[in-house]
Amino acid sequence: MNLFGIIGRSTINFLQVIGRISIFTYKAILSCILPPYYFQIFLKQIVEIGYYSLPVVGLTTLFSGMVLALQSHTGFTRFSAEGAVATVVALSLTRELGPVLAGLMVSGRIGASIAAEISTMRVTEQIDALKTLATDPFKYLIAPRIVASILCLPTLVLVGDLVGIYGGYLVGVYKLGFNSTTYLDQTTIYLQPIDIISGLVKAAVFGFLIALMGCYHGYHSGRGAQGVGAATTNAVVSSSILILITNYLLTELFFV
Amino acid sequence: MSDFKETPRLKVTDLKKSFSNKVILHNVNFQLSKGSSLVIIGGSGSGKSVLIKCISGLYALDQGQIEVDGKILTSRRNGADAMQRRNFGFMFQNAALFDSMNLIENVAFGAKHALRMTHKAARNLALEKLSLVGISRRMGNLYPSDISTGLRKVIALARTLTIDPQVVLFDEPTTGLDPLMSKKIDKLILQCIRSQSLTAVTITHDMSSAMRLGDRVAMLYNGTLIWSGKPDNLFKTDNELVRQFTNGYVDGPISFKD
Ligand SMILES: Nc1ncnc2c1ncn2[C@@H]1O[C@H](COP(=O)(O)OP(=O)(O)OP(=O)(O)O)[C@@H](O)[C@H]1O
Ligand SMILES: [Mg+2]
Repeated sequence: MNLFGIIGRSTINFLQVIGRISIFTYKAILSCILPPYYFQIFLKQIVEIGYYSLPVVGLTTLFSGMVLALQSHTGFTRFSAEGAVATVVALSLTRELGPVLAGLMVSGRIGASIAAEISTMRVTEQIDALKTLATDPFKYLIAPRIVASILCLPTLVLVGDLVGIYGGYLVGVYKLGFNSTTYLDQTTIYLQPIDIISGLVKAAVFGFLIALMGCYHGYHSGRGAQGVGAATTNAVVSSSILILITNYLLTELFFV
Repeated sequence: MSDFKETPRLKVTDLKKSFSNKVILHNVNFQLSKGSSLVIIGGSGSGKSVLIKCISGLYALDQGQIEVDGKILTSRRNGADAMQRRNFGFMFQNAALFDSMNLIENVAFGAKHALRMTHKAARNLALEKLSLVGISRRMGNLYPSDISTGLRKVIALARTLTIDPQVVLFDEPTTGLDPLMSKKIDKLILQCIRSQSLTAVTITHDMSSAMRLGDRVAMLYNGTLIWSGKPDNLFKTDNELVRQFTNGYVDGPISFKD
C-alpha cells in the first residue's frame, strides 16, 4: 500500500462523512420545523428522555456537588478562604458541571437507545415500511426525538443544578460545619442570571447533539446485529466528544 | 409484451439498478393494465426484492423509468415524498411489522397516517381487515414478537391492504405459511385484485401460488425478465431455464453462482 493512497482515501472518506452528516442535519432541522408534527410520539420521547433520565442526572449532580464542596474546602482552607466554598459549588455546577455531566450521562442513556432503536428499525426494514405507508421517517422518528431532547436537557440541568447545590449544602452544613443561612446566602449572592442561562443554553445544544448523533448513526447503520452494535457505540462516542468540544466553544462564547 | 388499448396502470421501462458497481437488474420492461396481476418467479438472490423496491420507490433507479397511468414517477429521487405520490402498497418479505406497536396499531398505522383517518376510524378499519384475515380482536392486542413468522406475514398483508393502494407489491406473501393458510392468503389477494381492480405484482417461490395468482408469470434470471407468459404455459414452455426452475431440476442451464 502506498502512503499517498491511504492518506487520499481517508481524506475522501472523512469528507464524505462530514458531507453526509451535514445533509442529515439539514434534513433533520427542516423536519423539526415543517409539519406534520407527531405530538404523541413527541410526548412519549419527553417521558423517555426527560422523566426517566431524572434519577441518573440527579444522582450524578448530587454526588458531584458533594465532592465539589469537600474538595474546594480543602483547597480554600489553605489560603483561608473557606467562605468561597458555597459560591464555587454554585458557579461550577450551573456554568459547567451541570450541563456537561448531564449531557454525558444522557448521551450514554438516550444516545445509545435512540441509535439502537432506529438502527434495528433500519435493519428489519421498518423504516422502509414507514415510507410505504406514506410516513416520512425524518418527521416521524427523528424530529420528535430531537425536539424532545432539546427541551428535556435544559430541564434536567435545572433540576441537576438544584440537586447538586443541595448536595454541596449537605456537605457544607453537616460535615464542614457551615452555618446554614450563611451557606445559602453565599450560594445566591454571587450567582448571576447569565451563569444559569449559559448552562441551560449549553444543555439545549447538547440535547440537540445527543439526539442528532443517535439518529444519524441509527439511520445510517450497517446491516445486521453488528450494524446495530456499531451504531450505538458510534452514537455515544461521537456525541460525547462533540459535547466536550462544543462545551469549550460555548464557554468561550459566554466568557466575560 | 402485449398490446394495450388504454394507458397501462403500471409501466416499467428499461429499469437498471446496481449496488456498488454490481449490476443487479438491467433492461427490465413490463406493463400491467388496471386489475391485472403479474407473478414474478426467480432464484434466490436473483434480484426480485430489489426489483419491487425499485418499483415502489424505496430504491432510486440507476436508469429507466416507472409510469403509473402514463405519469412518469421516477427520477433519481427517492424517499418519502416520492412514496406519497405513488400510493403503492408494499408487503415486505420479512413482514417488517413495527415492533413497538401491537397488531391492531400496526394495521391501523396506514389508515391513520396515509389515509388521515381519526384514531377510532383507523382502529375500526384495522379490526375489520384483521377479521378478514382471520385474526381475532383479542389476538390483535399481541405484539409482533409474540406471534409466529407466518402470522406476521398475515398481519403485514392486512397492513398493506388498509391503505387502498392502486398498485400492490407482494414480496413472497405465502412463504413460510402452511398450505391452508397460503391458500387462504392467495384467495384474499385475488379477491382484492378482483373487487378493487388492484394491480398486483407478486413474488413467489410457490408454483401453485403462481398459477393461482398470476394473469401472467414472468421469470427473472441474471438480472432481467427472460420469460413471460400465461400461468398455464409455465409448464408447457420449451424455455429450458423456466422448465428447470418450475420443475425444480438440479441439472440444467441455470448455474448457481453468486
Ligand atoms: N441494499 C442493498 N445493498 C447492497 N446489495 C443489495 C441490497 N439489497 C440487495 N442486494 C443484493 O442484491 C441481490 C438480490 O437481492 P434480492 O433480495 O433482490 O434477492 P431475491 O431475488 O429477493 O432473493 P430471495 O428469493 O432470497 O428473497 C443480492 O445479491 C443482494 O446481495
Ligand atoms: Mg427477496
